[in-house]
Amino acid sequence: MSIDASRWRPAPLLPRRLPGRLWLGLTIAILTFMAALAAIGAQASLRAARGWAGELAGSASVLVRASGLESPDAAAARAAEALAGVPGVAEARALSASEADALLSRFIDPKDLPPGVWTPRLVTVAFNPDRPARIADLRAALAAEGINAVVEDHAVWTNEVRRTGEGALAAALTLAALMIAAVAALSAFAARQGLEAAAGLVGALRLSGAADGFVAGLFAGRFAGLAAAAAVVGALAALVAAAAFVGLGPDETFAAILPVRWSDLALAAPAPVLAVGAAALAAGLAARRGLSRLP
Amino acid sequence: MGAGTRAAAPAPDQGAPAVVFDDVVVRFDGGEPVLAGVSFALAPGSFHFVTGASGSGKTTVLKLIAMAERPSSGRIRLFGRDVTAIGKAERAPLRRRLGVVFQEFGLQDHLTAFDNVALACRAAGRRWRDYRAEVAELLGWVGLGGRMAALPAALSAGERQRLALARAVINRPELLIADEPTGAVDNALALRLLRLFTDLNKVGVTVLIASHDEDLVARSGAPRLHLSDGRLTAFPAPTREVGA
Repeated sequence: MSIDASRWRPAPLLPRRLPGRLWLGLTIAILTFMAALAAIGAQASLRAARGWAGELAGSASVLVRASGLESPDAAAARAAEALAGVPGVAEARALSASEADALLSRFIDPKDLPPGVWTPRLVTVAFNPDRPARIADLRAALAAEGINAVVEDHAVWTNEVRRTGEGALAAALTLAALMIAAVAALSAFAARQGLEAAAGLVGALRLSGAADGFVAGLFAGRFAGLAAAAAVVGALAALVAAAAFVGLGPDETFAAILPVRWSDLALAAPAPVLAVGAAALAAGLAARRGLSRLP
Repeated sequence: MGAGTRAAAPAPDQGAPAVVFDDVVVRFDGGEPVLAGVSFALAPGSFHFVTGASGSGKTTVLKLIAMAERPSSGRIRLFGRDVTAIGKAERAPLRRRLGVVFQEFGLQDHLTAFDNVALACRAAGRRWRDYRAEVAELLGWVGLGGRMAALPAALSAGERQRLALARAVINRPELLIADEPTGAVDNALALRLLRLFTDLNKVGVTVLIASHDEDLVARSGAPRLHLSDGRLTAFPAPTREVGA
């Protein structure tokens, strides 16, 4: 039962089994999993919103109503021709009857339309990205040709989509921050419990001249280690979940709404780092606060 | 290793008494005072016993010296420093000049005997490469050279007591305080422990032991501070040399 002093290394001062460590680890893993997914989701939702806003801002839709003896297709073709000449328009294309019917089919079956009522014809206008056309110029060009048409200003929707995207980003980041805060709160609570459970050790250390910072550092280190192990598990689980999501492909409904890319998975990395930092800081501060109440 | 081969403890600050109690009162929750106006001074390098019946305030005196309790009123000076007036940050370095052996030992069940002694070095901020040989040597000195890897639960009461003593002196304290260090051991071991204390005293360590073991106190020949109902009823002139 002897020890070779030349080969001795210090053992961990805190007992290996602090109360509630398994539950704390499990909770930190779950919170980190959710925080990592929230960060990945925030990036994807922002990208989706920007993509939609970009698509909307770069185009306009024109609803053409045929009048007189002119057929709807002829009116649409004339409108497309007039719009193509407007400065800032890259392309103006009249949708065919079947394309217009396909767009409307979600809302009404064209076969159900009363006799003599045609599906309105649409002209899609793509703008020059550098110098996009003004909506007023489009309207003026159509009026000059005597075409009865309504120009839909997509900019109205662009701002809405941008705001929604930014709101989703803020909500996801707030959620991630709250989860990291929850890790901190749990670690602080566990450190206080640990401080009480290890009261004998704390007393022995203090009587031996340990500064409060040294004792608090033991708890900070222990909970940082615990949080690191749990957070890595949580972040890895989030990576697997996100990878499965990416693997679904862009055709799946969810993947189309939330376009997660492989590069987004890197956003899972800060979650465990922040969780470890929060756990260590909170545990250290809680231990210091507890120690400050001792003589 | 004998205590005599250890380096002498550094001299207390400018020859100031190691401990001074000046009209110290301790009263818990507004009840009857545990200590009622206790005053005494211990010269550096002296050896004293604190005696008295159970509940007379012996342990409280030691806890006050260890800064584990605070007095309700009065002043306590350690090595010339008024510990009732200093901040928490200043207490830790002052505690490193003390060695404390409390009744319940304060040994950590999850640490080996070696690590229990090393705990004091770590608390004092020493580097493990610097003290590990010293720990082994000290454990040998207290007769635990063959029990270094044992956990406290596997040690006898006497071995635990010697382990607590080793931990208390590993940092070469200037003042060693012990609460009933022979309370759980037989006479032979009590005398052996007393010898360890006197060896330390001979190299300049001020020693204060709380004990109700009249036989041990008488054998030591050391002066006593006698407490009765929280009052000091005897305080002889301090002596440097005590019988072994």
